[in-house]
Parts: sequence; structure tokens; C-alpha cells
Amino acid sequence: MVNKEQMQSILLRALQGGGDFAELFFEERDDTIIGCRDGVVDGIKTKHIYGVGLYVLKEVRSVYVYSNHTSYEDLLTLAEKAALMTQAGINNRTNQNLRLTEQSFHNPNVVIEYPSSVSNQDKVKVVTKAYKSAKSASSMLLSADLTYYDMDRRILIANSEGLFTGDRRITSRLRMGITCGDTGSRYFYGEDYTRPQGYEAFRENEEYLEFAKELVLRTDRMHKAKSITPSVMPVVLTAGSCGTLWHESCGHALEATAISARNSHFVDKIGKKIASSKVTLIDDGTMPGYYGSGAIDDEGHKTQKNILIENGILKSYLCDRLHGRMLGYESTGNGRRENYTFAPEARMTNTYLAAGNDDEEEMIRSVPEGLYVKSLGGGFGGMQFSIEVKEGFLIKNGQIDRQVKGIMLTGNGAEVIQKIDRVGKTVGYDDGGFCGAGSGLVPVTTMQPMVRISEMSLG
Amino acid sequence: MKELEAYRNIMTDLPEGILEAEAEAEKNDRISAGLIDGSVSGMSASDKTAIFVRASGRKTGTTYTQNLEADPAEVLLEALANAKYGQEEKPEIMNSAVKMSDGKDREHASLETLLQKAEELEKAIREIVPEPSHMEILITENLRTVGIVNSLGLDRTYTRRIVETSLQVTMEKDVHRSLELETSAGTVAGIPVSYFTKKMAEWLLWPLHNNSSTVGALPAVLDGGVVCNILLTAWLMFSGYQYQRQNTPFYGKLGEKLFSPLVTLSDIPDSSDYGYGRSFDCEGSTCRRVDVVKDGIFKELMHNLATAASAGCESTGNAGRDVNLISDQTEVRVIPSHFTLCRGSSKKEDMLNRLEDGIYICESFDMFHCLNTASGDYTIPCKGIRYQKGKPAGMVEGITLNGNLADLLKDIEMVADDKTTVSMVMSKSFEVSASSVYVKKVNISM
Repeated sequence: MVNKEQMQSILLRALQGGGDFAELFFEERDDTIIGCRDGVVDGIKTKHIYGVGLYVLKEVRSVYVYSNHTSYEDLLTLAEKAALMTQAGINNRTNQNLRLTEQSFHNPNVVIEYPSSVSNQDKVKVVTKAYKSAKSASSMLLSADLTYYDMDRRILIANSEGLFTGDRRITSRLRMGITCGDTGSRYFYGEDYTRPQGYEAFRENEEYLEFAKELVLRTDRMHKAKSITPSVMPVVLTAGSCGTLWHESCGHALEATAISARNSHFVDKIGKKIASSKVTLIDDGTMPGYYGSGAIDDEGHKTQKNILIENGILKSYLCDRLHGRMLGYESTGNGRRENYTFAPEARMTNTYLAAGNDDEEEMIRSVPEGLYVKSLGGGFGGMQFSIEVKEGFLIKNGQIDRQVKGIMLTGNGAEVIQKIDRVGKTVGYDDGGFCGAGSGLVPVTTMQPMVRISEMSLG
Repeated sequence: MKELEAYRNIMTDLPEGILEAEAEAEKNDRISAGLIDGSVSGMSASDKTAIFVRASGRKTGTTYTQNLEADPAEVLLEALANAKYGQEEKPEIMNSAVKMSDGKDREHASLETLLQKAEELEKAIREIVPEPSHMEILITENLRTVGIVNSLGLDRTYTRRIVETSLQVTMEKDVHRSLELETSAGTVAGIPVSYFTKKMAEWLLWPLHNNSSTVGALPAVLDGGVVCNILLTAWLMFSGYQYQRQNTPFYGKLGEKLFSPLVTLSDIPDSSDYGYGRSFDCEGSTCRRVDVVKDGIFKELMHNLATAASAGCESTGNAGRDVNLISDQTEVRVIPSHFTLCRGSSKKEDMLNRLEDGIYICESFDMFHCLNTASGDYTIPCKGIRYQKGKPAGMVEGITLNGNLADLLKDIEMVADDKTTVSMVMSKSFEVSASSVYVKKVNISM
């Protein structure tokens, strides 16, 4: 690893092409992965990510280079490449007085048992116990793929503004892929049990065993559910992880990457009413115990709470450094990336709809015919969005009726958020998952209280 | 391949306790150049080498590292230690002695060449869309070098050039809309500018008003891009790994005629037409063409060494690691190289002209959550153009295609001679291609 003085030299070399900002992003990451296929543990796999990215900006132009050759000489060569790409061949004298000053920021996620301190034997027990729990749930289980993951990610950032900082992020996850059915038909569903914690996520409580059992039962119920005639109807989404609705319907469209590309209905709408008055949407990377939290974003900016929409009025976009520049805004602490092979982009962290005042029971009672959504799967965001309904139930005459399947919620995000006519009183928790976009996969959570959309297309 | 040199040397003098070992290195050497609203941006250059190591005693363990300074002996011993908790009491199969290199030491195109191509594409698009509110073009050339060595004498390398182009255009005049397109090719010169201009011209012709009378069963033309989006997940149904776990609706149906005779689905690992080919897979098995479906008959599966051994056949050279968006990159599974719905002989215009009362599905979204690979059921959000009395009658947005993939493939009545190619999102581990198809009927809902 190069030292601070060498980093200063590398940054200055990178700026010699006329750039006005340069940043080094070092990453080391160690993962342990344990697979269990239908009860057979296929051993432990270890994974070591190691490399560095170098970002140079010249106003709103960018150059990004990366490598996993990380000696001082290699990095100087990388910096020269970046400088040449910034502005071919021009040597500009830049500020030679760069001095990196260390800053540290508190990570809201506290870790008790670091993965490296836990025996592999204990880690293997997680998948074997989870498999036993899954197997005991239902005779309709055809196959169960379980994978244990732990991740220890260390990043170090040094930039030409003198910032020298880092973060260490530990997460644990149990991935389950379940197939239920019989000789006539089968159904597959996968879900993650995620925690922004070390091994205490499994040692201190056995929620993951209940998760495994419940997942099998839910998959079996989804398999047996019937489809419905597609239509337009009111939709009630339960509290908690149904917050994916906000992630896909407007979250991506509020990221500066989309705004600067004008690929969003919310371009030039700051200060304007874009949603129902019941909507206050927040993105907050500082929340303790949440999968999307961290001390800093991946550009070294302290994470912060950002109010995106307040009582229906658009207040802010989510910005990284470059795309914030394009729009004339400062970074909001949302510059994120999967690893050093990606340049950072504006991404969500923990996104939630603030609690309202409406009665949850009345939301369903007042619906003659509609859909009640208990859980959502993955989706796709943009000007047109779609989300998979995993567990949906018809509402008939104000009562929850039979379970249905094969439904996608689709729509124009800007229209859907104007149709929120009820917002419940309690925001539910979301374990979290991954969001995939231009800067790779990043951990996020998406939450809400129970909400009702007055009408929506169900396909 | 210099990154493998230290591992090559250690294969003839393995650390104590290791009976067999293997190291596979994958190097991706990328350059990118682009234009944002006519100005140069998005310049990038990078190289990343990852090394996958297996080591066997009584059992086989695996590790993966990007730390090129790591001592190979320590890496091998770490892999062996990882085997301890595996419950399979036998080592994994490794390929034996083949020494082969494709001998091609490719050089990158220059950044100027990439920029010139981006400018050519931009000019062509502006002739069709004179005043976009935003246009972004990015061209990336990847020289992918893969090498594998093991203690049984296996020593192979190949290099492939993969060029990927993405285009994003936003228009705000009349209606605010945006189109994103991507495709891959084998060279910068091979970037199909005409693919982008045709799609752009088609996009502009999409009627702007909505027609809401579109539900129920209709004959349809599915654009090649829509079929590609289906194939990005559907290939799993023809994987030996999924088949052996009964995670496919076609389980137990090998040899049966399941689909339209016009349907041939193949994995074609080596062609000059595109970039994502490979000479051998991540286990060193030679890749070959695999016709999973030929003329509507479910013929064979894609296999790695383990699934082939279970099936009593040879590996088809389909071992790979990045199966989906959140694969862990360490586990060897089955993946395609270039999975395709083979071209037909019909013209897309003839298909559209055949649509008396039907729909042209021109764009679909969310390739990964719409298809259940165990059941074959799909619910695909998409956009289309309603055809009535043989003429486009209106754009329809917010619709979904619903049904089962087996029925869709059975109901294909025409396959066009066009071709769309897209690579796997994010992992860039394989690509798919497809032609536009005419389907007897699809179920549409709003």
C-alpha cells in the first residue's frame, strides 16, 4: 500500500492534464461464502477483492481509471494515463501544496463479532441449521439452495481537496433459493436475510431459522396462488419492505445521474408539487442498524439525511460530486459504487416514506375491490417503472380475500405518487437488499408505513 | 499470460498436502470513450485480473483473489483449507493435459478510434433526431484474456475483443421520453450503427397518443430486443445445473418436441460476428456449439464437468461463474457464452404487415424479475404499438405480457432475419442475441 506522501504525488500527477479534482479510492475486501445445496455443504469459498480507482474531473468531464496493480510506480503510470485522457498532452502546473489531512467519521452500524474472529465451523452451522429449518417447513419443498455470506470491506479515499478518510463495512447475509411444487408444477423464489452486522446476526438470535421456515411456507403459498384478470384497482401496500415502491417509482428518477441525463419526470421540478400532499420521502445513510448506512459515501462525503419530497413538494435530488456539478448542486453524500472498478454515481441508501396519520384498518375496509400487497420482489425503475408482487391478496368488500400471483405493478412513477391517498402511522423495517445501476450493486433498504394508491394498473 | 506465471511454476511443485491444483486467471483490459451532448466525457482505462484457485486433497477447496502480490503457495493452501467443511468426500474433476494458446496478442484500438466511432454514431442519430435534450454515447473495448493452468498439465489461454456501445437519447419536445440502447460487437469497426439508427427511426414513429383498447389475446410481433430480454433469464431453463435440480419446467422432457419448428436456441461460443465468445470455459473444457433446442425439439443441455459427469456425458464447455446479478463469482456453475434464438428468413416488415389486429411489442423492461425459471410463467412489463386493420393505431404503455414461456415458444410462427445482441447486465459474463418473432397470440393486460 502506498503511503500518504505517495498518494499526494499520484494525485498531483493525475491533475497535470488540467483536471480540477482527483480522487484515489483504495479497496480491500474479504468475503466468506458457504454454499449448502439440498443439505450438502459444498465447502467454504473465500474471496479477496483488491484494487484502486482514480477519478479525475475537469468541470463536468470525467476520467476514471482503475487497476489491481497497486505499487507506487504502477499508480504513477495510472495517474499519467488519467492526465493524458483529461486533456491530451497539456501540462498544467497545479497546486503543488496538496496536503492530505486525515478525517474520520462514525459508522452508525456497530459490529460486535468481526467475521475474521469467527471459526468456519460456526459459520457452516448457519447454513446447516437453516436448511434443517427449511426442510421441516413443508413436504412441498423440492430444493433449497442456501448460501452464507460475510463481507469485510475496507475503503480508503484521498482526494485533491486534502481529504484522507476511510470506512470499514461489515455485513452478513443468508441467501435462500427455494423451489416448491410437485411433479405437475413448480415455483421458484429467492430472498435474502441481511444484516449490517458481523456474526452476532446469527449467534445472538435465531431469527434466520424462522426466516428460512417462513420462506418455504411463503413460496409454497405463492405456488398455490391463482392469477387474476389484470385490471386497474386500488392497491394497499403493507408497511416495511413494500417501500420498494418508492425506490422504483421515483427513487431512481431523483438520482442526479437521471436528472442530468434528463431521463426523469422530475427534471427542473425543485420546489414544485410532484406528489400527493401525504408524501414525505427521505433518504438517510446515517441510520443505525440499516443495510444502506455507512460513515461516508464512496467519495468520502459524510452520509446525511436528505429530505427528497416534503408534503408532496420536491425538495432535493440525490447527488454525487460529478452529477451534482452538472446540476449546480453540492454532493448529498450519495456517491456510491459496488467496488473500485466503478466510478461513483448518485445512489439511494435507506429510502423511506415518512409516517402519516391514516388508519391502517380503514385503508382496507373502505376498498370494495382492490389488491393488498404483503411483499414485493425486484423491480425496474425509470420514467416507467415495474415491480413484481410476490405476495398479493385480493380485497373484496373491505376484507382480505384469496392470495393471487403473477402480478406486476407498472406505471408512470410521476403519476403513481400523486395517487397516494392514505399513509399509515408506523414505518415498518426492511432488512435490505441490493440495488443494481450504473455504479454496480450497492446495499440499500426501502421502507414505508402502510399506504394506499387510489388506483393502479395490475398486469 | 504473465499473471499466471507464478502459478504455472508452482503446479509442478505443489505445497504439501495438495494432490492437484488449478489456477484460472481472467484479465479484463478495458478502455472507454464517450460523448455527452457532443462533448468528450466518460474516458476510462482499466485493467483488472482475478485469479480463481482450486486445490484438492481428499476434497477440493476454492479461493478467489485480486491480490496479484499474494504468494501462490499461500493461496493454494488457503483453497485447500477451505475444502475442510465440504461434505462431498471426493475431489472435483479437473481437465487434464491440453496445451494451447490462440496466440493472439491483441492490441487495443486507440481512444481516438473510439471517439471517432462515437462521433459517427452521434452524427447519424442527429440526422434522425435533430434536437434531443440529451444524448449520451459510450463505447468500451475490452480485451479479455483468460488463462488456465493445473497440475495435470492443462495450460490454455485465449484473448477476445469485446466492444460494447450504449446510447441514451432523451427528447422533451411534445412528449418527454427517453430511449436506451446497448449492443456488443467484435470490433470497433463492427459496431452496428445501422442498428441504432433503425431503432431510433422506429422510436420516432411510435405514435404519441395512447390507445387503451388493448387487453386480451392478440397476435404479436416481439422485437428482437424484447426476445433478448427474455433470453437473459430463460437460458437458465436449459442449464444442466438447473435441470438436475428440477428447476425448469422442461424437466424430464429431453428429446421431446416442445416448441415451434422455427425455434432453434443455441449457445454458440465462437464466431467472428460478436465478442463474447470463448475457446474454453473456466474449467478448461473446450467450448462447443450447444443446440439446446433444434427445430422445436429439446435436444440437449449446457454442462460443466460436474453436471456432465452426473448426466453421463462430456462437458459442453459451459462452466462459468457469474450466473445472475448477485452471483458470488466463486462458485462454478453453468453459463452460456452467446445464447441465441437463431435467425430466421422472414422480414420484420412482413411480420408487421401481417398484424391485422394485433400488437408490436417494441420495448420491454426488467429482464430479471419477470420470468419464473422453475415454472416458465412470465409477467413482462412492456410498451407496444397497437395495430388495427393492418396499420399502427397508437402507442400503448404500461402493459404487460402474461403467460408461460413454453406456450410462447410453441406459438412462434415467423422468425425474422434481423438480430439484436445484448450482454449480461453488470457482470458482462455472457451475451444473448435474438431475432424479432411473430407469435400467434400473446396475452396482454394493462
